[in-house]
Amino acid sequence: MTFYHFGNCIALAYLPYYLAYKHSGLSEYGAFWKCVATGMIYALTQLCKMLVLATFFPVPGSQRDAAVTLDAFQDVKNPLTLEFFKASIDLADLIGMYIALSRIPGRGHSKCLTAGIGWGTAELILSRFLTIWVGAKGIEFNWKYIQMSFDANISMVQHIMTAALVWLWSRHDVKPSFYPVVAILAIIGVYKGLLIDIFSLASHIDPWTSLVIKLIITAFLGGLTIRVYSTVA
Amino acid sequence: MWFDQGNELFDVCRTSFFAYLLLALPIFVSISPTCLASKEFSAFRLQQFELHGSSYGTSGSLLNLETRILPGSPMVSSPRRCYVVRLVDLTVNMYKDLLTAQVAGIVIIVPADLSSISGEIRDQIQELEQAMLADFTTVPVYFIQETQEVNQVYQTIKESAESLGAASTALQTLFHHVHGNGVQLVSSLGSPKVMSDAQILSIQGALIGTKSSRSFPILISTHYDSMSPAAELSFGGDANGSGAVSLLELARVFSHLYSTRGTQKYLEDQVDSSDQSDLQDTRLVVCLDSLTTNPDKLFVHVSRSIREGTMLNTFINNLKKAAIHLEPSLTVEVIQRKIRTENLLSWEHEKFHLKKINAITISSSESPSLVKSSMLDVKDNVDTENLAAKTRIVAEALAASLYNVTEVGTAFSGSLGVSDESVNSLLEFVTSQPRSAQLLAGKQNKFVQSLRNVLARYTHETSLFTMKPDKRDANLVFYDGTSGTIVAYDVKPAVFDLVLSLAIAAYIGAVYLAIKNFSLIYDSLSYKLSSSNHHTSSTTNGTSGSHTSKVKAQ
Repeated sequence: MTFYHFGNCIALAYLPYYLAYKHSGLSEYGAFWKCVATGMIYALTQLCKMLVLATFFPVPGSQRDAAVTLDAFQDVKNPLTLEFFKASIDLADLIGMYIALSRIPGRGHSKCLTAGIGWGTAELILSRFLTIWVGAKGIEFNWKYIQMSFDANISMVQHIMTAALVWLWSRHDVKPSFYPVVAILAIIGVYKGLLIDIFSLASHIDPWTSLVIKLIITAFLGGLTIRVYSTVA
Repeated sequence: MWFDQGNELFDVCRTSFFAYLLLALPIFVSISPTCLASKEFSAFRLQQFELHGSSYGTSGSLLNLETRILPGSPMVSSPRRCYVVRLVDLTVNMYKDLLTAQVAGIVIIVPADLSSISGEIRDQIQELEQAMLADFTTVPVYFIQETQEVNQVYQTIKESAESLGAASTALQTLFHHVHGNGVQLVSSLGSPKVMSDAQILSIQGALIGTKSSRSFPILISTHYDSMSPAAELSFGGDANGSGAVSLLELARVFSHLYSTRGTQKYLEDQVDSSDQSDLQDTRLVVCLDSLTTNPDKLFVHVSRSIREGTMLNTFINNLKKAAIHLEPSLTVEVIQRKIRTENLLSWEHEKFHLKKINAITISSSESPSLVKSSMLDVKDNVDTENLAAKTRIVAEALAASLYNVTEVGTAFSGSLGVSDESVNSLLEFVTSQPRSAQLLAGKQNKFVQSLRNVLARYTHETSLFTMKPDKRDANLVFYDGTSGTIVAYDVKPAVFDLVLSLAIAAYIGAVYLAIKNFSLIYDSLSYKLSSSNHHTSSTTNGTSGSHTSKVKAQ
């Protein structure tokens, strides 16, 4: 397609981030560099995750490096189990988010928003931008770049939600009965992508429908998070 | 004053992030890979060659175009349109129209099973192929072989053409542009170059008998290359695989009659002497060409009147007798035709005739223009039994003429004779690969080598003659770039992106509204509704603002 199409994809992916930053009051706090710092922490977290993945998880088909592969994973034949363990590495994101939050001063809402938006923007730039750049500008048209841009919007909600949940977990004035809810929400947030992927693969759902399912689930989780959040803030 | 302003402008540029973007953008554009291939087909370009100074085929090779389909789309002269058409749908008139309209490219889909085509369509295709080879054009013409993927692409283009044709309103057309897919074909071939080291190889084998006949040899000649619009698709079963097979089989049969001893000396003499003088002594040249076009006919083409008592006369008579004896249903006819030098299409024997050598061509075609250079001419096109029978007749006639036997048709029998199995296996070998002249023109061509090896098995000594076109004044020029890859991409028209932009703008607007009015959403969702929450709500904005708006956009 054309450069114009690439522009469309980028507009779809980026503008909501920009609007969220501009109109949520973050720009008034001058939180730009905080966002960038969060992005750095995001990159560092991903690097650690990749190191762990590359070290401990055997690539199917390639020769096993017995010296470094964990024994526990050597016998894992079921790809689902393997995928589950791989997704579990994403729990590190929660730790990364915690570190990011601890480095941002200020009140709860600006903390969560800065961390969420910074994290999401970094993800967009580091993992999606290049794909869209290469793909959407190529001759071939494919809906998947539009879908990917749209998915970036859903991710923004997810990341802000994760930031809010991690922040809530670190607070002491949350009602004790809410702690399990917070933890469950955070863990669902981590495994959500995997669950939706498995579900849509198993029942042969087209990408658009699975995107809508993702959207609905994220909206629902977001609603719950706001409910818990509003008890504290 | 101007200087100051310039300085200011420079400062603005330097501090602005966009300045860096402007710098970086061209770099990004230049380094980014251009495409991700989706469907690749191997494609064969229409022949391109020059003969006696005039060009034939096509000189075009560039293809990077949106496609239209034929029949079904109006023929528009456009530098951006390429037409895809099935070989069975294409007529000579359509082809000529396409060339006259100066379309940007023609892609022809060749059916996977060529041998099953018959009747009128076969004639139509052959007529088209001759027209293609007779013309010269700059429009790139490609052949691709039918596969499932090709059919998918064809279907996509067809659907697109149909919905565009049927859409009466502008809205429907617009909807189609957004919904349907176009196909863009891109060819990987560069512009074709002259093959400078092209050479044409002739293989000669000799069976040497007694001294007296040694000085007056009979030459059996045939050409082994083939021709069709697509070099890689010219397997040439009948023209002239049949001739080559027949010649090899004759060599095999006659090899039983010649001893292999005591010939070394003769051959050394042969190599020393120039082949020109050798040719002058030749009593008769028999050229074999397209032996199975008509199953029950065999024509003997001569260019001079046949006089009594010559080898030529004896051989023709023996040929007739052998035919009556072996295959009563087969008729042998003699056709006399004066040589017309201006005609490109001629029988092989005419070349010998011009050198004052007695020569005939045996063929089942009535005239050289009926020998079809067609890609339909695959192995299945040749009737092996028919070819074997005709080879048998030629072998018997040759034997009878050589040894002055009066009872024609009994020289070879049993395991010594022409066998169907041997003919079949030879035919399989010869038609195992395309034999277009430019494909065989390389040095150390494997096919030519193995052909020589086969001939060497049956004859005493083989030699290879090389014909190289003169570099300065070539009357035969080959071009490379006979085959390449065509990649088909799904594309959308520019209108689609405009519509998409509008949709995205609407969506972003909805997101903006949701973020602006997030406090409302927050309030409706929050646990306890109190006025102190208002500030917080405006900050959590991003959280679910976007998803509500997404629901709207969906």
